Amino acid sequence: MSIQTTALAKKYATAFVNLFDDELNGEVNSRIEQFVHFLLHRRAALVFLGLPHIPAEKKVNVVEKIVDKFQLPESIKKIVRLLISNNRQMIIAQVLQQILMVYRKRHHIEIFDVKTVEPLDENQKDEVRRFLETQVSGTVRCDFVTESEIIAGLRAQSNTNLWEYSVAKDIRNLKKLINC
Amino acid sequence: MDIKNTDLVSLLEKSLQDVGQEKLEEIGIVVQVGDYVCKVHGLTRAVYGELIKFEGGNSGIIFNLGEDFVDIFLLQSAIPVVELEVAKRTGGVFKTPVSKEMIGRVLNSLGQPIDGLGEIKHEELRPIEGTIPSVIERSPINKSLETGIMAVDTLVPIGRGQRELIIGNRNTGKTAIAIDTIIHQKNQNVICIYCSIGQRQANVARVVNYLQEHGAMDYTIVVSADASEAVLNRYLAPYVACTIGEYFMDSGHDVLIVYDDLSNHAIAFREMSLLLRRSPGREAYPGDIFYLHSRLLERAGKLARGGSLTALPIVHIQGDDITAYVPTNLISITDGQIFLDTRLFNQGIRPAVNVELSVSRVGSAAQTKIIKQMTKALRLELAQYHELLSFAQFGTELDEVSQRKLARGAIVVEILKQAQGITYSCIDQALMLFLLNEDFLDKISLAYVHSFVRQFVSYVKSVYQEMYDALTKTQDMSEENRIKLREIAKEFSLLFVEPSA
Repeated sequence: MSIQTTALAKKYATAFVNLFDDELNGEVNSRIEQFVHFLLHRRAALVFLGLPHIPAEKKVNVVEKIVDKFQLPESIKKIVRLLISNNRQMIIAQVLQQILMVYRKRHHIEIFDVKTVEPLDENQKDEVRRFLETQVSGTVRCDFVTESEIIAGLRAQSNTNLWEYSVAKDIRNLKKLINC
Repeated sequence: MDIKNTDLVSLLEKSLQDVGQEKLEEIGIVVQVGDYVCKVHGLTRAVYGELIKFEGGNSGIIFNLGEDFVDIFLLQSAIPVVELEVAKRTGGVFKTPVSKEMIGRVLNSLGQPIDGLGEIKHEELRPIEGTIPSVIERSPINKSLETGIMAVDTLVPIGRGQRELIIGNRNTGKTAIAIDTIIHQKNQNVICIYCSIGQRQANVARVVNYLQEHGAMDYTIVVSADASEAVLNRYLAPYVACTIGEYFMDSGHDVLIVYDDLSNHAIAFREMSLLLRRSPGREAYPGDIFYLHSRLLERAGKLARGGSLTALPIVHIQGDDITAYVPTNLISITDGQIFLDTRLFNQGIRPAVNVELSVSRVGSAAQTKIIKQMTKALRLELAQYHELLSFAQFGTELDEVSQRKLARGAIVVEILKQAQGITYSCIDQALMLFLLNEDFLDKISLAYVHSFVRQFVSYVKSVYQEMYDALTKTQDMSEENRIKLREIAKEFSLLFVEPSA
């Protein structure tokens, strides 16, 4: 995805959130995420949308059916229709991604990828979530994954923040020290 | 550096004791990597010029702040930066180490030694773009910085705290003038900094060797960003050199800094601007190319509390055209320029200083009294000579007055010729000019004028040492001194034998 495409997608997303902010919530957002995932992992669908000899109405019909499958609100259908009519069907996924990002920024929601070597139990997960919420002073959503590369400890990373206390970090610092 | 397993364990143990002290770090994610430049998403609160550290060990400086992305130029070319790598804020701008131990050392553009003589313990870290001394903090330039080059000291004198541009075509002796000036600062209590920008490593090595041979490395620091280094290093080098100079100036020292050369610096900045997709202007330079050099050269000056920073920026031109973009900018920023002429250079007049196009706007106020007394009509005589010379070349029949002016001009040109590596003190120069002013050179064959004046200076130094010392002490060519010197010159004229005779 080029920088220019991102900028364009962000403009659509900002306009969308300005109009339909109240229609977005945690549940809708997770369905949008699933839809984005579907589009990004089925490139053939996007290729179909890009074929010039298929009329725009048919493309809209197909996309609307997919949108219905994901139980997305009417506003999402509107933005998808708009993009197809403007021949910008290739950036549908990016626009939806940007919608989520703009929404999260406005509502101070941060998504952290939390990496640990061993899986955490629910209590530990809550503790980590609470800790991160105090750190960022906002709402935090955590996606927990196990990662052996950190050796021991914990690494929580969002798009703009990082909290890490791990052996991998110490080794990295040691490496830098040796290189100096 | 040897690290034992036990050291690693103890380090890990120590770090485990610090649990809970880790803080949330502001980060961004690398989304695009190019030639020494990368685009990072995130870093929403980063500031312009901030130092950014990458998880892979590299670091860089922010040069563009966008709504979603920041552009970062990388400091190390050897450490790769990969897509999706984490870039962390440091919260501070790029700083260079400064220390008195740097004297006599060769440094890179990050202030680290590259001469293999061991580490330098830095006394402090200074931001490379500090506050420029205000008007109140500055004092007028009133003390001369002797270059030891007669053509410069007599015609385009430089004062301590002045910015004098050295401008000329390739191979006209620009670096030679700067290096000779550094060599002449021995025992003058001036710390010299030679900053090489975008030059070949062999050239830098040659300069360092030359300085060592002349014992100039005892008071000189060399900062080098050679042509092979990342564009950011070439951009940073003069700022780092200036910061080191300011450190010494702030401690009351007189500092001389040579930027060799700012054409390469401008080219490096142009490269960076084009990579950042900034709009190119004249000669593809960005709009703020003037500010690039003005903010660097404005840092030179003389402080009221003591200490000065004299800047000798060098710029090369093509085809003797001083109206190119960067040279005209630099001419307007600096307090004068020494223009080196290819035509004069090829005629064997070295240093090839073009008197008509060279000027020093503030240096005459700083010129020593004795030189001022001796050079009253020198510039005029030379100008008249060059004017008449063009007529003489056409074979025009000239009157007696013009012929006399031509003869005298030829002597002046001969006196001002000076070999590289040989510098004269102001008293030596005054004695040579005395011979010219008192017409002692009129009867000497042109080919022997130079040896006559040099031998005369040695004669005064050795036989009439008290006279020489008195002149050094008073720096004044009083009437009494003139009478005595006339007698000495007469005596020497009888002793001097032209080799042909």
